[in-house]
Amino acid sequence: MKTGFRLVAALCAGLILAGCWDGIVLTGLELVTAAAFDAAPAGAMRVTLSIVLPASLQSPTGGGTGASTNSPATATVSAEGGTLEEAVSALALQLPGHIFWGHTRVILIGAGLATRGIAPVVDFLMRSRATRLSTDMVVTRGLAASVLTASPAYRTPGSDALFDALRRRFVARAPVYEVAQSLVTPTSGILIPEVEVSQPSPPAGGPSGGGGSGTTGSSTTPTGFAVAGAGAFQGGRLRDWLTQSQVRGALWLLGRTLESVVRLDAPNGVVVSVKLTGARFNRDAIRLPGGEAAIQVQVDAQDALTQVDAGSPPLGSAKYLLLLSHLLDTRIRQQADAALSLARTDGVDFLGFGRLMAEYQPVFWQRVHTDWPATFPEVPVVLQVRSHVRTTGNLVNLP
Amino acid sequence: MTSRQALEQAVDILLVDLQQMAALETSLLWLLCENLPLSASPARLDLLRTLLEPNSDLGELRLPRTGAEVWRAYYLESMTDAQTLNEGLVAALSAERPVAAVASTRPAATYGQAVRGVLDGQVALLTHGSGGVLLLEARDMPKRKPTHPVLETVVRGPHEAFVEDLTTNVSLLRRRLKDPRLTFEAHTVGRLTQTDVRLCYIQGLTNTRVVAEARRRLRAVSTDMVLDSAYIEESLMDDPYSIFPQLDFTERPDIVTAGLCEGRFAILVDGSNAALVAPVTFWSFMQAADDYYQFFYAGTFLRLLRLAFALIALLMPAFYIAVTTFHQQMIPTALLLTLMRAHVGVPLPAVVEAFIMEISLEILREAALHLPDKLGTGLSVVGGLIIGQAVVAAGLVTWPVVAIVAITAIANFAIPRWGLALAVRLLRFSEMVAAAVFGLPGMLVATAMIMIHMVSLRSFGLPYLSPLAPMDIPGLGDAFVRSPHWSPRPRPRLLEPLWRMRTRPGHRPQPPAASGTRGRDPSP
Repeated sequence: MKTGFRLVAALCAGLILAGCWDGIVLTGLELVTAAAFDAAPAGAMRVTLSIVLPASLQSPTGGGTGASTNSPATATVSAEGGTLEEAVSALALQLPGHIFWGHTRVILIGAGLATRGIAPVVDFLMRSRATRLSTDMVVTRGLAASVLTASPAYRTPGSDALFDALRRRFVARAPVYEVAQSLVTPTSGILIPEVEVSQPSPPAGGPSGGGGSGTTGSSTTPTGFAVAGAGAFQGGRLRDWLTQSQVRGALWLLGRTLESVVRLDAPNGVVVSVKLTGARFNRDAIRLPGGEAAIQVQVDAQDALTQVDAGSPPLGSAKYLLLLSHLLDTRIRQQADAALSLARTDGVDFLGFGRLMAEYQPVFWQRVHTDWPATFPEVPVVLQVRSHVRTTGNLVNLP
Repeated sequence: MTSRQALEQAVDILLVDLQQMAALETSLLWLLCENLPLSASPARLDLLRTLLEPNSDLGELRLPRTGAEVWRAYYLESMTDAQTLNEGLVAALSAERPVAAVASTRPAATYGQAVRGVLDGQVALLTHGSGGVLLLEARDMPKRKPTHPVLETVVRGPHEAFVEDLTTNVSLLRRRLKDPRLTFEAHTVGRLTQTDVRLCYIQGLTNTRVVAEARRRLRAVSTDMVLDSAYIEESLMDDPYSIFPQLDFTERPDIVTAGLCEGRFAILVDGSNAALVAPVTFWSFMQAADDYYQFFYAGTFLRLLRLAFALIALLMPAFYIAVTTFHQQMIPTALLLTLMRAHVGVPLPAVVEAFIMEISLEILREAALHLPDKLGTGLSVVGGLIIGQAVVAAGLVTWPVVAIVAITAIANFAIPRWGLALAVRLLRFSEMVAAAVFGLPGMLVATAMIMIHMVSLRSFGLPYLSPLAPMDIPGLGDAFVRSPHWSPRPRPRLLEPLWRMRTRPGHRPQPPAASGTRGRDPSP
């Protein structure tokens, strides 16, 4: 009897101590799909959240039956605070449910906050139990909140469209954990993709902005957004902006380019489009014959000719395909040189060369790591590119 | 109350007392005479009749012999074959040189043996003057013919199942195992039912220590009645409080035969249409007869699939509760939105929903089990479709929970052995409670506790999780996969069989090959 009583008491204590009240019913979640962080006056911070509207989840038949195929509508809420946590607490007062960061797909950083420093944002995200560390971070030239209020015509919730755009392979991605990693090693930089907001075009205007996001409208409300270049960060602060071409060049040096289309102007007025189908990279820190430490990047790109835009190239000739490959090599070198030049000018190692040195040339790294931003521009970079146009499609030439 | 009524009441009480006294007297008489040797004394011969008199279907034959000699035979009309009685006994014993034309005879030494023989359907023949009683075989008891198994059906393979008659079951095994070493040890269990039990094993193959232990446990069974093998199963377990079955019960003679050939033993109980096989491991319960009748690729695939189903049946509702209550970040966003849509308007948390559906399903299953087949099918349809639809429409539970519980139930049905399926059904609730209180860590701890218990469990000394724990790599060939029949397969090492290999090496079939043209058509 006594044992039974003790067992029941232990079970009750277990139930009480276990924190079963920590459980949250699904309908009590305020699902954050995207969050924008902007600098506010006097060192304060503004947080804007894109939240799934619970009302949009209501199925037509009610009673929890079935699921709608449309994405749910989202609403944006905003609050300001002396610190990020204060701003989030202020947001919690506006919302009936529990702010849930577990499904945040994009973190947007405004240019003002990016210049001031993103360390508090990363710190907040890393400390949260629910945050997914693979959540992508992006930076905007204006206010980050304006991206959330933009309403692109092709998708209902802004964050979904943005997330899909980021997943396109030619875009540099910066997950939270990689940004955090760059913060703990102050000598290394990181590229965070830039998102630009499309402003409405005049009614009789020409084609809208790139990236497929442009729409036309008569109001001044942002109507969409597009992935542009990227922001180069070092020590958690924005140091410079990169164009899309420079970003592609940087990605070749980072060993990340997976898919892109390049226009090649071949002799005799031939213009072709070549698509990169795959690439192998080898990044290393080596000693040159003179004993000088250098970075070596080897690119082995596999391509497919996808379109002949002009002319009648002899695609059945192996020599001609070799010529196209050489042209492609040159284009890749040009892009990579542009990115390298910017990194050297700014003294921002967003190409991860410092990590390579630390790994492969530790003795050299020990000597220079305290003054790496100054040393980095002087380090030679050996870039070896080999492209192969493997296929030309089913059609040889149009008659 | 009038004096007449009082008198009637007193008479009633007195009658009840007298009946009780008579019953007590009969019981006492039986206790005194059970082990009393039979003798030629006429008074004692009457005693046999007195002991059998409570049976209203008692029949008595008086067979006059020469002079004043009269032989008497006692039998139970309900259990004796009239034709055997008339032709094999009455006619044969009336001849000048009496020879009983019956299947078998055996002498009874005590009153107890004689009475039990009659109660078992035999004819007790009392020969004048000798004082002995002969028990003549003339039984005609109702029994059904072997039919299709109810629980363990197969697509390919024999469709024959045990019946309730022990003799028939023994013959079903004998037909499959024509080896002189096949042994059926007779035991009697149950003080009142005196149920015949056979301990069955292959001498020289089944480890003698295992047989001795089985014999010891059978003899130690102490109960009034044994109506089925289930009555003695619990008394034979190594850990009687474990939720896991430690003896396999099967209605298929081929499975028992396979077990005997692996070095296990079987127990057949009169009146039971299922045999018990031991020692067993967890993997024995995941094997179906089909595995060995299908091609070995299919057998292996089905076996692995069943393991996955067992895990689904055990963990799926608990996992759903844990992730929807505590770990929403683990759910893909699109799926979470679907779940949130489903939960709009439903007032109950996921854990309560899951329990409602699980309990409803258990009720449905139990109700369908006790109904005739046709009604049971109707109830399943009503329960599965209409009630499922109704509870969702009423906003009591959500579609995802209905789907989860349905998948779990189907996965549970895929576990081939009823005993293990039942254990998984019960353990599922403990996993659900752990998940509801502690989330995924709770589930992990509950699963670890189950695993620890399984590792420590034994079936007649055989580790329950062997050959996985302790590891026996050759033995794994028949636990997770179904190796081909021609491959060299050892018997389970931990069963300590007296000879190990089931199939000798070098029997892989291959096409006939001429010299230098191995595997090719030798024709020009």
